[in-house]
Amino acid sequence: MKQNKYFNISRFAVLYKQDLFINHKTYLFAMLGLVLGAYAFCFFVFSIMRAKIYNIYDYVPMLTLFLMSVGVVIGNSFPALKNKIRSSSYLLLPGSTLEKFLVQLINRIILLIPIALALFWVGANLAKLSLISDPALKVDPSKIPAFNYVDLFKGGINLRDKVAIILSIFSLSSVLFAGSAYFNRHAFVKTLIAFAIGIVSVLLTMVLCSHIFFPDFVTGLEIHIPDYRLAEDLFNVHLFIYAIGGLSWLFFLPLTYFKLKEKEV
Amino acid sequence: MSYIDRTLIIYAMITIKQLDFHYQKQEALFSDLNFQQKEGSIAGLLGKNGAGKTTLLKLMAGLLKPQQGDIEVNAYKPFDRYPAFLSDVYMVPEEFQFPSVTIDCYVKATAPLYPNFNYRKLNKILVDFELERKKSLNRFSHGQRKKFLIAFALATECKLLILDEPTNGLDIPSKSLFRKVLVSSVTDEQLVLISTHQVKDIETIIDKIVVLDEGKIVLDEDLDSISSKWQFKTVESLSGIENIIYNERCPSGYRVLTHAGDQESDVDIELLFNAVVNKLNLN
Repeated sequence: MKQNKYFNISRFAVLYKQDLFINHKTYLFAMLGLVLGAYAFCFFVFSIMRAKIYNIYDYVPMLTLFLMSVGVVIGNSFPALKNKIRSSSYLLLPGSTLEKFLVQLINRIILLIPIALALFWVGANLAKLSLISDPALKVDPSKIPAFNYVDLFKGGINLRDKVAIILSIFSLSSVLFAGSAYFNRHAFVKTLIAFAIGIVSVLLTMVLCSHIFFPDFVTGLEIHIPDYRLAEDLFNVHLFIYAIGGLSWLFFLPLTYFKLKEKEV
Repeated sequence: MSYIDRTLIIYAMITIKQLDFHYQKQEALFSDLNFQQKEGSIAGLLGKNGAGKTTLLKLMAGLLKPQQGDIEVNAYKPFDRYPAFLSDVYMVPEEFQFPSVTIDCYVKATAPLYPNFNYRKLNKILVDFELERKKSLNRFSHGQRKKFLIAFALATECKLLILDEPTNGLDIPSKSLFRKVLVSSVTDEQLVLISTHQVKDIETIIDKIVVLDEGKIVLDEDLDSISSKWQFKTVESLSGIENIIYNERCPSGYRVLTHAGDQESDVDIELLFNAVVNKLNLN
C-alpha cells in the first residue's frame, strides 16, 4: 500500500499511455524536426566544407551542435508546467509525482537521446548520399566517410573517458531537465542563464581560492590547481572532472523530483 | 466537543482547521479558517471578488500548500497529491486548456486514470450537451469545451467535485441543461462544491450555502435550516413589516429578509449573501 503511493506499474503504464495519446503529434513532429535538422545541417556543412571532411572525427562538431538542439527539447520537459492553466490539470492527474517524473525522464532523456543519435545517423548519411559530385566545387561525396558510431568510438579515447562522456551528456541533460521543472516560463533560456552564472561563480571561486592558497603562482584571473597522480593513468584533475561531469545527475534528478513534488499553482 | 461535532469530524469529507494562507508579499487571505463538509450535498461557495474562493478550492484540491493549519479531504492531506486522493477529486477550473485531440482520444487517454469512470454516463451527458465525439476539442467554442469538461468531471464519479465558476461561458439553455445534468448525475456519496458569483445560476440546485468573507467562513447552513430561520419576501412598502433584518430596493418595491414566521419561503440567496457580507446580525 505504501509503495502504491509512490509507484504502481499499472498506473504508471496508464499515465505513460495518456502522455503518448495526448502528445503523440508533438513527439512525431520533434523527431521529424530533428532528422530534417540533422540532414540540412550536415548537407550545409558538407557543401561549405567541400573536400575538408576526411575522417569520422570531422563529424564531432556537427554531432555536438546537433546534441545542443536536442538539449532544447530536454530543456522544455514538463510542457504543462510552462502554463499556469495547464499546470493545474497536469498536477491533478491521478498519478504519483514519481510516475509523472519518470514519464518525462523516459520520454525526454532516456528514449530521446538514443533516438536523437539514431536520427543524426540517418540525417548525416542521407546528407552524404544526396551530395552530388562537383569537381569545380571540389565536392566529392566518395571521399566523405559514412557516419557511424562504432568508428567514432573505436579509437582515440579509453573506456573510462567514453563512460565519462556518456555520463556527462546525461548530467548536462539532467541540468536542463531540472531547469524545466524549476522555472515556469522560458525555462530553457532561464536554465542556460542560471547554468552560465553557476559556471562563472565556480570559476571565480577557484580564482579566489588560487589567490588565497597559491598567491605566488597566479596573477589576475588565473587558476592554479596543483596536480598529482592518483593512479598510473589518473590525475586528481581528471578525477575532479569525472566526478563533476559523471555524477552531477545524482544531484539534479532528485532536485527535479522534489521541485515537481512541491510545485504550486 | 459535542457528540455531533465528533461525528461530523469522523465523517466529514473536508475538514479544515485553523488554516492560514497568504500569497507571497501579500496580506493574509485566510487566518484561522475552519470548515467542515460532509458528503451527499451540492454546496455553493459564495464570496465577493477576491474573497479567496478559488484559492480555497485550490487548497482543497492540493494545488496550493497551506502555510499553517490542517486540511484533510477524504482523509488525505491534499498537497501530498497521492494518486488515491487525486483519483477521487476532480476540479473544473474557471480557466482551462485542452490538448488538440478529439473527445474520443481525450477520453481514451485520460478516463483510465479514474477507477470509477462511468463511460455510459459520459455518453449520455455528451448527447444531452450535443457534443460531437469525433471533433477536436480545440475546434469547439469555449462554452462547448466547458460543457465537455463538466461532462468528463461528472463521469469520473469522484467523491469530491470542485466546480469553479462552472456556468461562466455557458449560454442560457446550457446553464439550464447543466443544472439538470448535475442534479441527475450526483450521488449521495459525492460532494459537489460550486464556487460562483452568479447565484441565480445555481440557486435551484444547491442544498447548502457557504459564504466566505474576509478570510473566514461567515455562513455555513443548509437551505432547510435557512428557510426555517429566516423568511424572504418581496413587498411594495416596508410599513407594517416586523423583524426586518435586511432589505434592498427592487423594481416592485423591497426585497426583505426577516426572522422566520409561520410560513416558509423560497430562499433568496442573493439577499442573504448581501446581508451576511454587510455583517448584519442574523440572529
